[in-house]
Amino acid sequence: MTEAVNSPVSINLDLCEGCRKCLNACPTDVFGFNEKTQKAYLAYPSDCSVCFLCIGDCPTGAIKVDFAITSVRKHSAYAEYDPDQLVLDPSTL
Amino acid sequence: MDQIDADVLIIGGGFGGIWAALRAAELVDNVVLLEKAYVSRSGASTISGGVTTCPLDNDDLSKWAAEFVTKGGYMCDQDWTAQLLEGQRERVKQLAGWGVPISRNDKGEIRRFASRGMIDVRCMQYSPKKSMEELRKQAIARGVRIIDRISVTDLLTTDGEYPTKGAVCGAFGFNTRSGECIAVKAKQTVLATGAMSMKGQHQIDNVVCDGVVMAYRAGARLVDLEFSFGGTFSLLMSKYTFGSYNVAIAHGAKLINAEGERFMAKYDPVRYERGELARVVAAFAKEMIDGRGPVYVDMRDVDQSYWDDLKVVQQSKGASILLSDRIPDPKVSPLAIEPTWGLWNGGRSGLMIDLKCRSSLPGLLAAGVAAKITATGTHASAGVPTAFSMTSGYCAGEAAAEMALSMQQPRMPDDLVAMLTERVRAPLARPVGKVSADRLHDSLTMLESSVVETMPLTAPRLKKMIEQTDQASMTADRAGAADVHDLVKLHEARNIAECARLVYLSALDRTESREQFYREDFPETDDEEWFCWHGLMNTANGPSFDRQRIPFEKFPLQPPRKRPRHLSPIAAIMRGSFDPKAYD
Ligand SMILES: Cc1cc2nc3c(=O)[nH]c(=O)nc-3n(C[C@H](O)[C@H](O)[C@H](O)COP(=O)(O)OP(=O)(O)OC[C@H]3O[C@@H](n4cnc5c(N)ncnc54)[C@H](O)[C@@H]3O)c2cc1C
Repeated sequence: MTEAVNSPVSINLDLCEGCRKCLNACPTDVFGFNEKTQKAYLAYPSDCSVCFLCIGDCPTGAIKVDFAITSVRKHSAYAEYDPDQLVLDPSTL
Repeated sequence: MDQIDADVLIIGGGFGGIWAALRAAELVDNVVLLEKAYVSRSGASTISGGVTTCPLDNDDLSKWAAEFVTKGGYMCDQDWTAQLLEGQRERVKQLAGWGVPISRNDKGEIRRFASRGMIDVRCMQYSPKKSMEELRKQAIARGVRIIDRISVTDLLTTDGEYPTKGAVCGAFGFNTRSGECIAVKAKQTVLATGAMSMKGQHQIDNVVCDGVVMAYRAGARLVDLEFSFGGTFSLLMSKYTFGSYNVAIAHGAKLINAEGERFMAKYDPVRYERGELARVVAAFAKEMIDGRGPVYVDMRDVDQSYWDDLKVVQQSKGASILLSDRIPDPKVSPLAIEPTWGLWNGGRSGLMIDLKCRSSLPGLLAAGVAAKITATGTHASAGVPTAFSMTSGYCAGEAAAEMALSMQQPRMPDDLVAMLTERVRAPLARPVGKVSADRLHDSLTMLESSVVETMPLTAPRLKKMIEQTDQASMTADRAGAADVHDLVKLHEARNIAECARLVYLSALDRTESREQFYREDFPETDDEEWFCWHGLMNTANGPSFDRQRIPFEKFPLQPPRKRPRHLSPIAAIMRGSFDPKAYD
C-alpha cells in the first residue's frame, strides 16, 4: 500500500521496515511513527521541500519523492509560456 | 521544562554552528548546541551544491584577497578577507584529513576550478553532506552536547529587556515534537541559524529568519539588509530544482536566449555567464522583458568530468533532475532555466561581526551566513558562503570559549523563562482561525514575485510591501496553532514577516543602486553618500539606521578615487546602455 497525499512524497508501507531513519532525515518533520504498526507514516506531507535527504537514508527504498513541486510559493517567469517552449530544438541552432 | 547551564551555547548546526561547537569544545567543557532539525540532516550546508573556496599551501593568498576586494567593490573588511582565506586553507586540510570525499584528478590531487567571476580564486567540489556527518561525529567525540529538534525562539538577556541594556546570556526554545520548553543559560552564545529566507524557495524550509530576528529584537546591530535580495539560476523548466549553476557553468554550460544567442557576450565578453551573478540575473530579466525569452541552459558542450561528478553527487544527495528521465536529455536539448530572486541573504547581510565574530551585543557572537560576510563585499562568490560559514564558525567557537573561560555564569531575571514560556506557547491555546500558519507562509511568499518583477524596486512598491508585512505580523500575532508542528511554523511566519519588513525598510532607506541592489527610482551608484556599511538597530524608538565608514587606512588595498555618481550596472543593463569596459 502506498500512502500519498497531495504532496511530492510517498511511502510504500510494504517496504517500510520501521527503522525510523526518515524521522531524523527530514528537516521539516514530514514523517511520523505509528507505534501500532511499527512503520513510518506521512504526518505532514505538505511540508516536504523536496530536499531528498530521506531518499538517501531509507534503506529499503520505501520512500519516493517526486522532482516537481507545484506550489504557490514558487514564482516562475515562464508561467505564461507554452510547455513546448521550455525545451529548445537543437536543430534550430 | 528543561533548564541547563553551558559555558558556550551554539544555536543552529550547519557549518557555522558545528565548527563553532567543535572548536569551543576543544577549549571548554560545557558546550551545548541547539538545532531545530537534526545536525547533518538540516540546513543549507548539508544540501549545498558542494562548491567551496579551496586555497592550498602554495597559493599566494594576497592575490586571491585582492581579487575578492576589487570584485567586492572595496566594500570589505580586508582583515576578514585574509582571515577567511587562511582559515579555509586549514578547514580544507581538516576535511581532507577526515576522509571527506573531494573531487580529485588522476594524480589524486584536489581538482580545482576557477571560482565564478574570478581569475585566481579556485574552488573545489566535495560532499557537503558527508562533511556534515563527519563534523557531527567529531563534535560529539569532543564532548559537545547536541540537542536536536529544538526550535529556538528567543535569546535570553541579563536584564530581561528587548532590546537589552545588558548582555545576551543564552537562549530559549521548544522541542518541535513534544513542545517541551528548554532554556539554556550560557556565558557566551553563538548564533548560527543560517540564511534569511522564505519557505518554498531553496529546499531548506526550516531555515528562515529566526536567528537574525531574535538578535535584532535583543538589540544586536545588523548591516546591509537591503542586500538580502538575491538568488541564483535554480529553476529548470519552471518547476524542477536545477542543482548547482556554479558547477555547471564552470564546466562549460552556457545561457542562450530563444534566438540561440549567448547573450552574456554583450555584458561580459570575458567571463560570460561566470560574471557577477546579479548582472547575469539582470541580463536574464532584460532578455525576458525584451521578448527574447525563454532563456535556456545549453549543456551540450559540458565536459565529461561534470557528468561523472554529478553521478557521485546524485548518490549522496538522493537524486538529480539532470540525470532523471523526467526531462529531455540536457546533453542534447537546451532547457529553460531561470533565477529565483527574493529574500535570500546568503551572507550579504546579517549581524555585523568583528574578526572574533563578536556582535555588537556582549555575550552574543555570530557565525555562518546569519552574519554579514564582510570578507567579500558586494561580490556574490561561488564557494565563499560555505567557506565563510566554516571559518567564522571556527573563529566564533574559539573566541566564545576564550571569553567564557574568564567569566562567571551570568544571572537573569527570575521570571524571564516563565514569561517566555507563556508567550511562546500562547498560540496553542488559541483557535487556528481563518489564517493558518501555512496560509500565512503562502501570503508571505506573495510579497515577492518572479525575478523580472522583483528585481526593480521603487519607493511606492517598497512602501506597499512594508504595509503587507505589517498586516502579516498582526495576523501572526493573533493566529492559533493546531499543534506543536504548527507552532514551529507560526513562529517562523512571524519571524519572516518581521525580517522582510526590516529588509524592505532598509531598501527604502538606501537611495541609490549598487551592484545587486537596484532601485529603479535611484538608478545611480552614489559613493559620496553610500560607500559604507548600512547599520540597523532596534531601539526604544523603533528601527534606527546608521552608516559606518569603511576604515581603509588600516587595510592593504585602497579603493581607486571616488567615482562620480554613475548608473549602477543593473540599471545600465535594464536601460540597454551597459558597456562592459565601464563596469569591469
Ligand atoms: C541549494 C543550495 C545550494 C548551495 N550551494 C552552495 C555551494 O555550492 N557553495 C557555497 O559556498 N554555498 C552554497 N550555498 C550556500 C551555503 O550552503 C550556505 O550559505 C551555508 O552553508 C550556510 O551555513 P550556515 O551554517 O550559516 O547555515 P545552515 O547550514 O543553513 O545551518 C543553519 C542551521 O540552523 C538551524 N536553525 C535555523 N533556525 C533555528 C532555530 N530557530 N533554532 C534552532 N536551530 C535553527 C537550521 O535547522 C540549520 O541546521 C547553497 C545553498 C543552497 C540552499
